[in-house]
Amino acid sequence: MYIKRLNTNLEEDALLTMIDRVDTIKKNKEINTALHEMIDRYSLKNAAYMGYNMGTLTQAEPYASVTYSDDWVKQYREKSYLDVDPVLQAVNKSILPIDWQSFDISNQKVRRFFNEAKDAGVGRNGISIPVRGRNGDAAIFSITTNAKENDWVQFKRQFMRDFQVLAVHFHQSVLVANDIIQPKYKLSQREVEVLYWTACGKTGEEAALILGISKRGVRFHIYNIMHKLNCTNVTHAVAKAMYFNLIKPPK
Amino acid sequence: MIFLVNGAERDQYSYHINTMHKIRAAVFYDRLQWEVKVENGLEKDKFDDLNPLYLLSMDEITGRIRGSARLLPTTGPNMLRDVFPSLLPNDEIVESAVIWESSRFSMEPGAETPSPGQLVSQVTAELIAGICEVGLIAGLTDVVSVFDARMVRIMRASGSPATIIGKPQRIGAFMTYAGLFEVSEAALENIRKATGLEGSVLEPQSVTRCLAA
Repeated sequence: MYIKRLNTNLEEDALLTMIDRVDTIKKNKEINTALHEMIDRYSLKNAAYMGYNMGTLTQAEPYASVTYSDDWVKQYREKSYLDVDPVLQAVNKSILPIDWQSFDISNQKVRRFFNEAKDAGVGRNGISIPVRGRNGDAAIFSITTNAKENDWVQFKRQFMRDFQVLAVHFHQSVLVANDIIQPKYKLSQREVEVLYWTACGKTGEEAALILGISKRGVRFHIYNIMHKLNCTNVTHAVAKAMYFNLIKPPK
Repeated sequence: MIFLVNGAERDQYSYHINTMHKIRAAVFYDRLQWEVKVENGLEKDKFDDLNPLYLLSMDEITGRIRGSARLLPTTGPNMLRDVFPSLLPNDEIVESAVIWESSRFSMEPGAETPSPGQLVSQVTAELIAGICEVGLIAGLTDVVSVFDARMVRIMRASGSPATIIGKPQRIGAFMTYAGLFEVSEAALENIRKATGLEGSVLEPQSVTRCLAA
């Protein structure tokens, strides 16, 4: 079923749509909704995000948002699998994505853990991607599928990049949703110019004249800016852009 | 071949890692005279404490370490952001899940001499192909690096030309560049063609070990 998707243009769309989706997350509960949405888009079995070193938020235990069944989460807690799960042990050790197949299951505890996970419907195979943040914050982002051996190899080759990207976007969103960092806004040079002249009190027509672009062009940029900054009107956008130092205060 | 070691495994592989630090001291301190810190003959910096991934070029027969490179994600602390931000124009940064940074690319004296009929040495070819192969495993699009003019030529000769980003700058005695290297099956193919390498350079057991951390 994964091979079939190779021939469609779905992949790029799935990634871009997911990035947009994840970047607009403002509350913690939306993280889990977005994980479920990702599962649907990529035909996954499960997904899990675990965050570390985020100050008080992760003091007692890692920040977790998972799509596993309630039973498995309960079992995981009751048996203190936080201390056994080799995926979690890996987070500070490696920067490479970890294929669950490569874990050493000669350790009886680890073997039992994976067997129970399989029985609980976690998924036939999985990868975990370590994330490193700017301030010592870190995360481990896992996805699982029920793909057969050959399909799994193909799936990894095709989508590893998507999940690397999504892992970081989910991580950023968790930080934003918990007020650990401010959302990052980035405007293009042209958008900055348009917004600057608007902040100076110029009309759309005047801004167009100054910048040598069409009135429509100015309006297009304004809409883009409002979308990027998540604002409802131009005044809001100007205020927000100034607050985040995206434009200089007008002279 | 390329032997992978996680920074977190430095005690288990202390011989390999120490040889790497010794070679780095010989290259960056003794020969290039960069402002790097050497203690007990070992060149180390703060990025070595952040559990990077090391690519060690190992002699297949003797097991001797002959050169190395170091990889770090650009989403966390890295040299371009924290040491050389001036190489990029105002407030531009390289921070991406699919771009890692390569640094401290080096090899023992003599190991840079090309084999007969080749443009670059075996160690150079292995390290460059190894970086590309690891990038493919991790799903990267590019590897970013800070380097000097000598490296620009070496990369070109290895079939992996750099796309220079930002403004080259004189740092100390050297013109210093920031550049991107493509990671793709096609890029790997070009490296293999240019260097005569056949098949993977990665030592398979070290790959399995690092993938399971």
